[in-house]
Amino acid sequence: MKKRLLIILLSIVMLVPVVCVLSACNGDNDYDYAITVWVGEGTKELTERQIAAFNETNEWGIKFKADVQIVSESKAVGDATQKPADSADIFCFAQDTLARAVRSNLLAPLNGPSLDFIKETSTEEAQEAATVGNTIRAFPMTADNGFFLYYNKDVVSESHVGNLEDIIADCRNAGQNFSANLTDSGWYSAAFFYATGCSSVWETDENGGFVNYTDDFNSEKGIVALKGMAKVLAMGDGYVESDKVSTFSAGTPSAAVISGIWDYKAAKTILKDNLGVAPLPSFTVDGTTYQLPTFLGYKFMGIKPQSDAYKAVYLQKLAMYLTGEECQRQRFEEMGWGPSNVTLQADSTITSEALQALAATKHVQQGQYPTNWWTQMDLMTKSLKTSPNAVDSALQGMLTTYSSSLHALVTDNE
Amino acid sequence: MKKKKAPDFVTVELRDGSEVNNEEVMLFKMNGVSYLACAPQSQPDEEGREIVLCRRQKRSVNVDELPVGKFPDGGMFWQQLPCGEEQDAVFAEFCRRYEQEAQEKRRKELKAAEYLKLNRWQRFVYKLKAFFCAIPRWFVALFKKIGRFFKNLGLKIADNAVDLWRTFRYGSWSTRVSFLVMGFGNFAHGQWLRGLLFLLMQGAFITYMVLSGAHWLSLFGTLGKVATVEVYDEVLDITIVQHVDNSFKILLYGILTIFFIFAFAYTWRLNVKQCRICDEITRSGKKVKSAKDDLKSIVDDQFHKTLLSLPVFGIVMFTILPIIFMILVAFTNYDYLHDGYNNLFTWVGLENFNSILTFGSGLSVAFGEILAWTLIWAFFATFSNYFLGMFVAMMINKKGIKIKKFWRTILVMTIAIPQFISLLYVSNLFADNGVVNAYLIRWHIIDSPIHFWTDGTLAKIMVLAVNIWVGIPYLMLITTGILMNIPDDLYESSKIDGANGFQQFAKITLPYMLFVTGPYLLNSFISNINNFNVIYLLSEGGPARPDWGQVGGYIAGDTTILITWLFGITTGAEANYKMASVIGILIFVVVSVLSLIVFTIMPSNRREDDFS
Repeated sequence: MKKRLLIILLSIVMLVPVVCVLSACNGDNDYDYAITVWVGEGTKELTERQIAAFNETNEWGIKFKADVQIVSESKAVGDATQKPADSADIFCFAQDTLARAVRSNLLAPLNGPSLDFIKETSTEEAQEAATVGNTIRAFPMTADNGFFLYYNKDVVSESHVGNLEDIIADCRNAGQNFSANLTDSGWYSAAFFYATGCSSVWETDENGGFVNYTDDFNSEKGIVALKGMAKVLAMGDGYVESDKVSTFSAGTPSAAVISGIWDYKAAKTILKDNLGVAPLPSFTVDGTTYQLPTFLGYKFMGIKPQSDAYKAVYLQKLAMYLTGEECQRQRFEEMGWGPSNVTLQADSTITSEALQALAATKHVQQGQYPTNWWTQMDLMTKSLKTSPNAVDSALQGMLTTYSSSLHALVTDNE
Repeated sequence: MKKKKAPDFVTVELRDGSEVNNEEVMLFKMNGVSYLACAPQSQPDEEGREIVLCRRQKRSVNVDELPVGKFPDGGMFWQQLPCGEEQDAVFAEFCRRYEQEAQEKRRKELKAAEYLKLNRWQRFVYKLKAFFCAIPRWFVALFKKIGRFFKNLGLKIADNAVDLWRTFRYGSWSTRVSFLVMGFGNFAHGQWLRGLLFLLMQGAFITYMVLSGAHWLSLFGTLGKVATVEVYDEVLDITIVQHVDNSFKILLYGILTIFFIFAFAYTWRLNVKQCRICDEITRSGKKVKSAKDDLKSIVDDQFHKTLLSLPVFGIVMFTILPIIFMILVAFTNYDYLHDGYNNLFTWVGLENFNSILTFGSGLSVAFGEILAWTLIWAFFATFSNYFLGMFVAMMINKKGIKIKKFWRTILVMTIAIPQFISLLYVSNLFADNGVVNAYLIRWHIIDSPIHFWTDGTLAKIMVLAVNIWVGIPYLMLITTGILMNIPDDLYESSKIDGANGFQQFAKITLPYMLFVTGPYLLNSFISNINNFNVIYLLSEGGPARPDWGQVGGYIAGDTTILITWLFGITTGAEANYKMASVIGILIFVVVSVLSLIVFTIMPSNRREDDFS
């Protein structure tokens, strides 16, 4: 009797996993492909809904079982490089990592229909931004990757928001801080150089390698830019190294924060009606006023290189859907993200306070930069932070160090 | 003089080939020094025959090559030895060199009586000096050991080769077949289980090598040739990408294959050896072990092997293999540009070590400073916690202190909250715009915030101070127990002798504590070298040091220690695994050298007998 019981028990133990596996397989049978999708914070649920809608409506009857994971757009390419075999089939990433994604072979080549789709639906600037060498490599998803000024109306008066010195003075008078991410992100600090007329342009080849560059940061104009930045950094204790609107509610709160559209909701929650948004201010050095511009970049959706041709085709269909007009509209409505789609950009209903502030800020179309370029910018601004009141020769020294590091960033020299 | 060890008898072979009674010459050890003793009758005769000592019948040692200075005072054994002029000269030379060595030694070493006259500080200096003087000798000994290892290895291989040849030459036909078909000899002798296992091993090895091993091994030298191939599908109008080689897998499976080859070679040798043993047993008319005996033995006299097989396999797969993999990565260009999957990586030799150790290069300057701060940090973090923890424990244990449990509980509360949370909280608390600064300004104590984390020196002091806060409770708990164990009569008698509180601490408490907690201190020092949590959660290694430039794809800062540097360069946007591996190896070298040094000078290691 005991033996028989044991046999039954063991049989059940053996059968359970088999049944589980079979049922799991059955579950998978409802789908054609199981895929992983990386999206930015806050868009997981929306993307899941959008993929479900694609599964229902697509004309080919394709069904994706999507595992949507949150990976910040700025880190997606870096993460994919760290585990390339296990990275997502579709991932959203920021423009500044495009060349590196191509260099690391993380993006599948796009074929005819996808290219036609991008050319039809995206603005020319967006297409240009998605191009490495002469080839478009990814699907533009948003066109709002820039920054502007958030401020506390109680502290900074509306008449002062156009001028950096006035904003700083208002913050100081109220015993509050000014937040910007100047020494930790070249993306923000480059604005001072572009304001004075400097530029750094990098040329890529088809493989995402950097083959040439023109950079005049190491010049008289560059010194002016550093002096402008030093005005903020010399605030010393009044300057907070952060682009987070959460500094509005810090122990010593900030009264002005330079950040982007992604922080609008959070800023509104903290300051409510006191929240003001404005284009970036101007700054004055030696009697001349310079208007700060913002880099205007894009967020893209990329597809991992596939070895299954059918899967690759359908992933492109899905990406077209996710970056299409309908999905971009949903992203604007639910997240406030600015679309890259031409139709939506022309739509007057697609606008918001933050988007207007961004649109009103002077733009610099963001190009492709080597990953190390951003770090070199950080090194330069960090040096400036340690001695914000440096004399011209010291400033020149910082620019020379920066400039001498650039040659090594050309791919052949890496 | 008393002999501590039984003498090692040696055979004395004279130059003409004749041997003398091996009991007439002997080597023996006394107080760690080898001596040679020679009976008068075994002296070389007047023809001046050379004496050759054959120790353990294997190695010949010419007396001329015997280490100098290893003879007792006066060379009493040698006085009887030389007979001819030549030997006289040899002896005179020995005496001269021995005397010279002895003088040198006397000059360096203080006599025991003189040592006892020294005060504590002088003794410490003397020990320290002796320790550093001994370092070159360690290295010499180490190199000698390495040399000996390789020599022995060579000898062993040669022995094995000879043994294999003999086995083949004199073995039975089944043994000879075993050279090709593993386990054949065992089958022939009726040991089917062993034979089957050997055969299975051979089958598995050949199958593995044919199916994949040879492939991995052939690519091991280059770590792959082609990463990806793009294929255009005309029907679907799409380009797909096929992955060909994967450097990561090649490296990993290459190591595995090499392991497997060694394991196979060992098994093959075992197979031949067992066949030879079987032959010998059969020849002597005895019965060889059957499968039943083998099965019995794995739970009986070979039970240790049964028990250890799984753990050993686990250690090889999950510890040794990854360590070898990590070490080998240091010799490749594995980084974010060469991920091994989409872009292959390859061997670069010592280039990575060169870039970090080359004097004057940006990376080496940063490495030097970071290493120095790591050691300073580990030293202060360990000893500040140790002494302050001890003081707190002593204070709480002091008679007359009320509500002891309450004080203890308050301190232990720090342990109750996960470090992860408390450290992040403290980090925000002391930020430039954090609560501490905000209140100090509001109460008009300061005008501008104190840069707790953004000023290099202050940040260093802060991480040490916060580490004290986090670490003291552990030390308090550990030391409370030990302090209670110190016999009260020691304190009482010292009090009668007129010792004050400090003297009691210095002469009784501290030596006792140091003795008991010596290994803990070392362990704590090593873990502080790798104390990632405190540094990273508090200051993230900052404030940044732009003057170092980018060190391995990461901007390091004033409080960066080796382990946070390693973390930064593996997880940043420009992951640099090759440098991380180099740093890992260097951390290992630093930690092991320090451990060895500290273990050598630690009282608990040296004076075990004295402790009571």
